[in-house]
Amino acid sequence: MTFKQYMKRAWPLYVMIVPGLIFVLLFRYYPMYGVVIAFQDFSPAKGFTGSPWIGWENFEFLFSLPEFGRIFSNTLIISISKIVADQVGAIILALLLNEARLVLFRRTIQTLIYLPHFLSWIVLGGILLDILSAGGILNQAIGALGIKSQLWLGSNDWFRGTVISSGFWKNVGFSTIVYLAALTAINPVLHEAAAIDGAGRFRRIWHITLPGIRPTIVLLAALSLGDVLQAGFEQILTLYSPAVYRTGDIIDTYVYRVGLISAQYSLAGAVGLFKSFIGFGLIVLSYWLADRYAGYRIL
Amino acid sequence: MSKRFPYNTEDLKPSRRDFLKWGGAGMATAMMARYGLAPILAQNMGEIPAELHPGSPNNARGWTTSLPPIPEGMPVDPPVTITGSRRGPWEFADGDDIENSPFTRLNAAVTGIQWKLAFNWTDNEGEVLQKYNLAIASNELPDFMETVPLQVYSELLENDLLEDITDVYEEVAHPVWLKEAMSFSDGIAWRLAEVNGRKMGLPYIEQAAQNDKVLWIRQDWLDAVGMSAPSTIEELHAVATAFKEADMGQGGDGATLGIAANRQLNTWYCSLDPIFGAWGVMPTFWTPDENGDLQYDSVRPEIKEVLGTLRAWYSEGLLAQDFFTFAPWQNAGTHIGGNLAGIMYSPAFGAVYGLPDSVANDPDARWTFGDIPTGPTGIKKKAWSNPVPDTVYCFRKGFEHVDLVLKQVAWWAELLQSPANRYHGFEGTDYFWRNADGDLDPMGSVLDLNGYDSTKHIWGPPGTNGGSRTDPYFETNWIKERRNVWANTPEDERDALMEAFLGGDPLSVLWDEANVFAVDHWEADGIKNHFLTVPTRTMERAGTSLEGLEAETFINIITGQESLDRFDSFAEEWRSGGGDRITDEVNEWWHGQM
Repeated sequence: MTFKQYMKRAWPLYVMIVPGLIFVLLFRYYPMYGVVIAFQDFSPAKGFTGSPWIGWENFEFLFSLPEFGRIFSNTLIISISKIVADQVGAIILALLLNEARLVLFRRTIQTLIYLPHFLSWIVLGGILLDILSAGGILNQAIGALGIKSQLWLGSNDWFRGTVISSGFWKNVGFSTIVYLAALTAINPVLHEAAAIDGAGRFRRIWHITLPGIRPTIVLLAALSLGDVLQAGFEQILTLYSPAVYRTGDIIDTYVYRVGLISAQYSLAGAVGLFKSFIGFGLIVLSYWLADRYAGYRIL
Repeated sequence: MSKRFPYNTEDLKPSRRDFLKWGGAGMATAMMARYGLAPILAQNMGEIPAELHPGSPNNARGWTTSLPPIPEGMPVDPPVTITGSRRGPWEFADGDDIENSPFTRLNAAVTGIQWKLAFNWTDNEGEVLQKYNLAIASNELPDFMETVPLQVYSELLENDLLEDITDVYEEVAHPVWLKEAMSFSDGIAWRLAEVNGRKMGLPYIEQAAQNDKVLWIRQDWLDAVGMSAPSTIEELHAVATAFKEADMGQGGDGATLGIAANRQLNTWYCSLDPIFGAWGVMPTFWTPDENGDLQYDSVRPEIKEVLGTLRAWYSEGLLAQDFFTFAPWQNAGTHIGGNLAGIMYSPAFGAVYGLPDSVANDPDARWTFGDIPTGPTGIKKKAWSNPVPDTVYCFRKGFEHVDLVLKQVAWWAELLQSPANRYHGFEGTDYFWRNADGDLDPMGSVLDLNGYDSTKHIWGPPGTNGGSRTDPYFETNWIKERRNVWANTPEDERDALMEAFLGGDPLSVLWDEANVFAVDHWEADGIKNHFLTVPTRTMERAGTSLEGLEAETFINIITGQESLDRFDSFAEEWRSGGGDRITDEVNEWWHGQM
């Protein structure tokens, strides 16, 4: 088939791509020139062309902050813990739900764990602040079991754990659904054949189900690495207080407080660019790893 | 009062020649002008058509709103259209909108000004910046800009985009309703709006003493422990301890707190600012020292004494174990509404915020308020709440009708702010009649989804969504009028407006009383923050770091995680970490002001 013949047959497909392509170029690539403000002392009145260029000053300011080490490591610790907890938890939950026989039971659980995903952090935060306070329900409950009450939100020992587990509670349902969808794509014949060969439930999970969703695991893990500097701004903003800055202050919340003193568009631009840069590097790295060790490629 | 029409009737009939001269549409306008039907064109008539009046004179239990005299030279002819930006949201009846409402119709009749909406926003954090920045970037600034945020204001100033209104203001601003009304507290209203002695806009002014604290205390708990309201910090400590020991609260055993507090030591609700004030200092405020320089109060040695006191209170369990994770609004629900604390330093509106829940959860709860207790050396001070927020009304550079806007502002200021005029908005927009007996619902009409605000559709000041005014004593003057004049009207002679405001529930009566009390003590007891301008260069760079250090250190000292002597090293760190430079910059500005 010559190219001409091919195009004669396939041109409607290319035409269909065009609107999407235009959308991506217009709304995803075109605005990227805005990153120039990261290297400017940007003022909206002077615009992109008129604002003075200041080179790396915004980045230098960010990296020379006395708290930079603290907020950077807090961001990484919280976000990596979240990614690991979220992925592992979602896989386990998906496997468990997949094995449940009763459809009604499965659907009910699935809906219930998915529910918090739809609530905003402002709402959830308000509820958590109440539940987790010194005299809140959680401390009352563990107090009844004879366990000493803890300041879940006010102590540097507990704050990260609180953030990670409440983030897990909110997001795990969503990730679970993705894995459940991947699980339905596994050919049941494989399971039947293995069962005839005498493989039990755990052997089948290990040898059939997990390898079957391996591309999905790799894909989701690779994608979430791109967000590794997003530790959950809204969540931490609603839950933290100065007493836990040491363990809970992340890059985004810090920059937010900088912005409260005066709007610093350029600094925010520099931080965004820095985060994207790290995220981009990690995506490339994880993609390479996925190709190397899981044989997963997009193209 | 009847006014003679200056024409004889014969003159009013349009002639055939008139028709030919003006043609169809033009004819209609001309006729309206001659017959005085279109108030905009009714030059020198001195009377506003009855249907445009606020108030409800025609209802059996209605009232009359008196209108101030029409400003000189108004309404202008031909009418002038002025564009403006507005904060929403709003809702109107019968096809009315923000450009055509009972307000704009009356306003056009009085002043000849027709307002046109340039843009509006509802979210006052992100959206307002976005809209203003867009207007700046596209070079389409409205003539009159409502509540311009500080960042945008400095942006506009830097780029010379604002009209200097100094000379016009001197010439036409009303001596009472603008000049005098805005001269309170040594002219603090103008600290932002005036730059190098030139007026670059009109101040946004809120209510006097609106966040000034009074001591709210449970009278029933005082009676139960046999004590009287504390007048010194020492007595306050004794009462708080007695409340805790008697376990007066509703929580589990030993859950009663001495005093409600939260993570911000100097804040708007359940604040501890009057305790710092008892030692004459105010964290986060800049105050003049004995040399006339500004000093940062958070690093003054007196702070250490207050932190020591609070540290002792915390260890005695008078403050909640986790008070430092609480936001003020959580105090209202958990500590006050949940009846765990019987003492708080909150503003007058505390009567209707937190207290209603407290009374609902414990019908025996009897709250009362009193003056803040004095410190060991007899000092009685609290944070002075500045009625001038970080926002200004601005005029576009080159705008020609600043004088008209100033005249309009004065006319509406007089109408709204003089209680004798009895302005309560427009029927069907700001209030409605609840039933056939003519009872008034003062809390807004069915159409007004955002509650009572009989001024928010006004292009102001006064008015606007958020309720700015020119006179910070406006609310208090109204309360005094209600209590001193209306309340003396025999009950069977009261109209619906009087009745709606006089028969309040006990908590809103308490609110009114606390408001008058707080305003009476506003100037005498307040510690003012004298730094009122855009942040300095070093504040922008190091401010977040220093603020974090301060907040973290103070909480850690109070909760005993760090020693009290940590305060000294904190003060040192603050100075070397940029604080000294900030102090220099602040004083450079401060001395440039005088």
